Amino acid sequence: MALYQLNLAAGQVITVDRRKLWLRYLGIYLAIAILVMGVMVYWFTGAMVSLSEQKKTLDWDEALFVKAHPGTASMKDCLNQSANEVANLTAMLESIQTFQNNGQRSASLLLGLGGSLPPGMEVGDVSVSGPEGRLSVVVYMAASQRLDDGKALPSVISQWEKNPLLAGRVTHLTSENSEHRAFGGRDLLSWRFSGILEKGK
Amino acid sequence: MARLDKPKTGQWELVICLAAPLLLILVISLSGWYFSRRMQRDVRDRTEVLKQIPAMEQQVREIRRMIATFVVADGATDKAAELALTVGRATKKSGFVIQSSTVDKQPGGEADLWMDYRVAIRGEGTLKTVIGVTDSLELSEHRFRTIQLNWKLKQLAPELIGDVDCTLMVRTLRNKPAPGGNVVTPAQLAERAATLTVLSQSVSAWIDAKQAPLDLKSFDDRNPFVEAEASKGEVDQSLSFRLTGIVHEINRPMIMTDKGVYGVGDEVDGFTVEAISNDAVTVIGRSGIRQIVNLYRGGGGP
Repeated sequence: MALYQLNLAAGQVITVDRRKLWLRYLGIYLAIAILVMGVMVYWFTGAMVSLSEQKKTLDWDEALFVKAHPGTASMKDCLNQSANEVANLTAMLESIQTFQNNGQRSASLLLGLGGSLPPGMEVGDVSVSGPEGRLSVVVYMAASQRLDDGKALPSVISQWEKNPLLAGRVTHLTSENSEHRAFGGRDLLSWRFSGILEKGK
Repeated sequence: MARLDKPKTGQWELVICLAAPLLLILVISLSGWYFSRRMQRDVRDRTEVLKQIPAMEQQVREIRRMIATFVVADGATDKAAELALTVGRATKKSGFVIQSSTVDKQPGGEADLWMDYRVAIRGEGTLKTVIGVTDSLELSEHRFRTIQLNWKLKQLAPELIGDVDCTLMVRTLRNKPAPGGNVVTPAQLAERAATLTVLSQSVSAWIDAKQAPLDLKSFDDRNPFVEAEASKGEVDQSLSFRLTGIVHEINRPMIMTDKGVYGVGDEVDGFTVEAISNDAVTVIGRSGIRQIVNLYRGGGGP
């Protein structure tokens, strides 16, 4: 008796050999995927465990830190307290800086003005005034020693400009006027100079 | 005839089998990366804060030490008396004749964080003594700053003496409790700390600057308006008295000599007392010759 086998799915499904091949590849693929996942899980778990240990140490350190800072309940409190302290101190320093800029160190100014004059000349009047630091100086010399104005004035200004105590401190230094006057029974010549003082010097 | 179902090819199952592991790997890696990054950031921030706060506290302590002289302790009385004493010491040390000095409190500023004292000094002295006083005050722990100054020459001999009107300021700071409630991040704190560092460097350059008192030698023997013959010698041959002391009364300075006590205008052995300074007196003889008599410090001579 002849036996016929009818393969009705022939042409519609893959062959046994191909299916075996597919299954082998799929198996390899899944094995690699599982391996990769395992490695990743291992790696991430390790990282997490390490971080978790660091966090535990941090918790301990923070607890000690907070304990050492009475009045604070947490690190957040400590942080805020520090920030406020810094803000407070910044305001204090700004106030000192403003104070420094609004005033002058007049001793060195007077020494610079009076100590560097050419022989025969003396500072008579000095005035420092106003928030912008207006400077007015009167220089006297005996009329008997009269020098040529054209030489004497640049000499005074250049002496002042060269003086290290006044360098970068007095700007817009100009000669205002000169006059002949009797003072203390003597005949004097006076020159008035004006300038602006740099702030904070 | 019943219609045959479309045969199952297993394509979708295959796709799922292929995609699922990839998706799973992706999900695991993304979530692992996300959580570890988050934890790392958290740990890093907290470690940073743990380092930042002590460093900040150290910086705050140093700055507080630097500005300690400006800070008025809580509950302390005001500094007016202390400042008046400082002014008194400075004027005495410099030989400046003080006529009046006042110390006024100025209205406080910026939520009472600071308060100024205005110190007004009036008196008379040479430019050298004025420099001495202001230098001493400016270098003192209170760091006086000059706001206004007038020195007006009023006398040529025996020294160049002028009237002085000077206003100085002193700033004091108050220790205000730090306001609470502001929640800041470590980054904000670092930003504030950077501002504080810049500011403290600028201020410490002024406060911590080691400044020696000014050298005033250039002011010695500078008076060109005194007659040459009058400035020579300690005691002129024709003088027959010794200047043993000077009393600095504000309105009426007196000289003490071995012949008695005299004031300006009095006559001593034929010489009229013209002017009295810190350590010398100018007298005019009958011939009109002006002479300077310095304080007698022992030794030969009359």
